[in-house]
Amino acid sequence: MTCARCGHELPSPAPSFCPNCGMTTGVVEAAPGVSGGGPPDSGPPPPRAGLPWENRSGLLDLGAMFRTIGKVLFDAPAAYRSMKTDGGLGGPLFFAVLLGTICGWVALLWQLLFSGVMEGLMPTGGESPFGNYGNLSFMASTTFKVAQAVMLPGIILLVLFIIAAIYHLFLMMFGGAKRSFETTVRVLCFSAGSTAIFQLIPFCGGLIAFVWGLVIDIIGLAEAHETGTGKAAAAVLVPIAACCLCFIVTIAAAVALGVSVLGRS
Amino acid sequence: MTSVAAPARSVPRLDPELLWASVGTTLLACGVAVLALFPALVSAAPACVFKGLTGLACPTCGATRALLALASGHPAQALAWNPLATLGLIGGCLYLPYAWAAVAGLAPRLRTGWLTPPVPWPLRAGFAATLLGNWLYLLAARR
Repeated sequence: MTCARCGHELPSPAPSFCPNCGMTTGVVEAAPGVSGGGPPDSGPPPPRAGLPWENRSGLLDLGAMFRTIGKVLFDAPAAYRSMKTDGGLGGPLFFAVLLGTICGWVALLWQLLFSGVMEGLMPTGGESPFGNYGNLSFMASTTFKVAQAVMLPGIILLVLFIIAAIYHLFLMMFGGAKRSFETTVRVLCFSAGSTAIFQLIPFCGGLIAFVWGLVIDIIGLAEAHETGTGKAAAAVLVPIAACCLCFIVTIAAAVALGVSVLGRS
Repeated sequence: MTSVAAPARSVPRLDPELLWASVGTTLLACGVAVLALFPALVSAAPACVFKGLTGLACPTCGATRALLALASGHPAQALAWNPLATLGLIGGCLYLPYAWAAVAGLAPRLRTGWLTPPVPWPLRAGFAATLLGNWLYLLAARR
């Protein structure tokens, strides 16, 4: 007997919950088209049924959009197990750009509305903790925000492909890329579009979206590429750790250079 | 337009411990590294916007101070700043070594049916009551 949700082989007699995913056994049925109802290597998996957005009627089906968001955010393993791994990028990109743009505009609106309040709450009186190097006050200007709002769809598109390329490159490096680059882009589109909803929450929405997005990206890559959690996690987290390390090394090098220049003079 | 059926092979299953342990460890390591390099960021964090607008504490008010108190070895002080955030932080700190031990096969994987959907209503009500109780405490203590 196997778990209806994750396909894990259950011991006999069957426990009340799956020791692998924790799902109550015998109650939950596998979603249509979701592989996992049988043993992991019992033959080719059935064709993927697709997310509601992939089976939408018409160009803009709001019902399908909200069902997709709910499924991706709250049942990511099942969502990505049912996501089609090919079939064109138009639909997924439209999903990500549409939601990312609308929610990004709302986030920019929050920033404009509360910029005065935020300045008053800064303990440094508006001074940057990075000193003169971090004087980024122009980024708070209305002109910059309007320009950002206009360019947002293009920025989202560009960033999606750059992040997908990084994820796919690292997946290949770790031997986890079992499917094409298109699959990676599709995973990222549905993850980015769904987590963009959190940007509607003022102040902390971006942070929630970032962390939740990381988790969903890992689940999505693991399920869509049918690879291990470790490889998917490494593909998502190693670039972040590498960026952090580069940032620290750059700062440390700049400080060391400054100290040596001051020492000579 | 549907996907090509994959050849018959074993499909790896999602490992929750590995997922949460890797995300938690990476974010913790990056956070600690950046804060170690820029300690000024701690004091430069803005005050609570909700409190700035309403004059009342938000449900997470005091969480940063609780984290700093906990990091400096003052658990009682941390509990006073925000009890629920402190317990959450301690739980997170305990979860990471457990998760890595479980991934390495050194500890059994803890599983319960309670927290998987559908979550029983007493548990949901208890969670909501805990959040509300913590917020009422913060309001009363004027955090």
